[in-house]
Amino acid sequence: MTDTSKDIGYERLLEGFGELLQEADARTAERRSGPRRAVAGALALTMILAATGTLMLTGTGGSGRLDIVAQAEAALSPVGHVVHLVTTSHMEMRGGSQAQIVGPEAEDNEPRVAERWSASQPTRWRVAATVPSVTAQGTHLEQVQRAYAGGVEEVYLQSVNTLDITTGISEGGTRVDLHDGPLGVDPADHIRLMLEAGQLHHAGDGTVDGRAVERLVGDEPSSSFGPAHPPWPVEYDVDANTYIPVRFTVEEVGMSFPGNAGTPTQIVEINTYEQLPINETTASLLGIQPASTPIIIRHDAAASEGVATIAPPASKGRRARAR
Amino acid sequence: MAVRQLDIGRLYVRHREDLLTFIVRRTSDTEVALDLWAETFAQALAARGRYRGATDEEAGAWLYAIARRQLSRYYRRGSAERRAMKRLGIERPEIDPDTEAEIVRRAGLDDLRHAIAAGVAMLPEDAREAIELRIVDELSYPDLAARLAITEQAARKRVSRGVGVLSDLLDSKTLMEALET
Repeated sequence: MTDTSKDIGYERLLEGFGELLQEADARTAERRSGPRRAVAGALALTMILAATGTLMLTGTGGSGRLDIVAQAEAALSPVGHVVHLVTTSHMEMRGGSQAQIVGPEAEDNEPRVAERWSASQPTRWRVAATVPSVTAQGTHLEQVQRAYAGGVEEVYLQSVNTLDITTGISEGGTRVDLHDGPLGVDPADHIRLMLEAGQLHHAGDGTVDGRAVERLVGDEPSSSFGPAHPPWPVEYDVDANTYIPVRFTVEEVGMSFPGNAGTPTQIVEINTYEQLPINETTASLLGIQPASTPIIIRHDAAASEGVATIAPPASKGRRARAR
Repeated sequence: MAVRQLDIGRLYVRHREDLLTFIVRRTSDTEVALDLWAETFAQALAARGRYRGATDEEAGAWLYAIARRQLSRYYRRGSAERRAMKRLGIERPEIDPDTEAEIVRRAGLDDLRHAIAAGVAMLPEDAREAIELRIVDELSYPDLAARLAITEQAARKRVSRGVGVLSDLLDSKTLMEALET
């Protein structure tokens, strides 16, 4: 049983926020015609610049050395292989008073190392990372693995030895993508697609940790998931000889971290990039590698409530009772 | 099937209560849950131009996908994102104690807290204390921080990450089944 005053407060909460949403909806509808014109104009400008950029790069002497975009596209063409990648990434503030992030997001200052294996057609991948986990006894490092193949996503947490298996994931959905960061399933493929779309252009050469690189810069549009944002300026540095990715920098314009001035900027260093032939051994790297037989928790992506069912593999409930 | 323009009002009316319950049961904290709930609808509104579904069911699944992403971020960082709300210029509604009690009642949170007390036993040793103090003993974050001799922000992170580990077990029925088998 509940009294009427509580019901009224609850209903007011729901109705009140609904009205705020409708008002925001109306405001965005009013603004929609303007940005559309701007986007159309920007798109036309981008196409002109892309065409001009290609001419400039390909039409100067025929030495081939300056045809960076075409060479990179060719070098990064997808073939059947497993891509093995080790990255170190961190975030910093750009354009503000200091690069160091302070406040609740400060942990993003710390470099994070991740290792991933991926293959396309069909899309399959696994990511293994060590992430900080804060507990009552302090911070410890948590070993996490996440994998996807054939409409099934798996997440393994080593400390609790649980394997979450989610079935029914749409192949065209966003969970199939590795949407954490700018790398995609295969960063070389990601760069190639952006080149083909005219979203990147050559901006000279340089060095990263003493390694000669070609700089590809452009704008990354909003992903198909999450809130829309202005185009994010990106710089993808690729090896000057092989065109494999060396470092990605993405300025997340429009985003903010409370208490910090400037633009949050993600920097991903690619420590290892290798293409392995697909065989039984390398294909097995695309699946979760648990430390021991895990407790399996099953989910159905189609069920909106997403209620899990638990099926400990060996002795059912043994782990639950052991505590 | 043709792609349909997402009707945010219809989506809100269909899912507002169930989504709030869904999030409350996964955070055990009405203030945090309201932040995540409001941000989820704000993100749905902000991103609806890229919605590609055609049915109410697909729209619902899309909304819950956004909610899960918010929850995941909260578990990881200990704070709720408010970017879409800020960009749209809307504020999460404030609530009085009666309304909070009603949210707790409708979400069955008291029952869930008992289940969590059992579920905490499934956590590793070092993850228990913060969860027990906050969710089972219902300490405020300042009190919890004082008890553990850490900052309030660190206390929030400890709890959110502990709850994150339990997040798939926070349905009491499932949890009790797991404990009874």
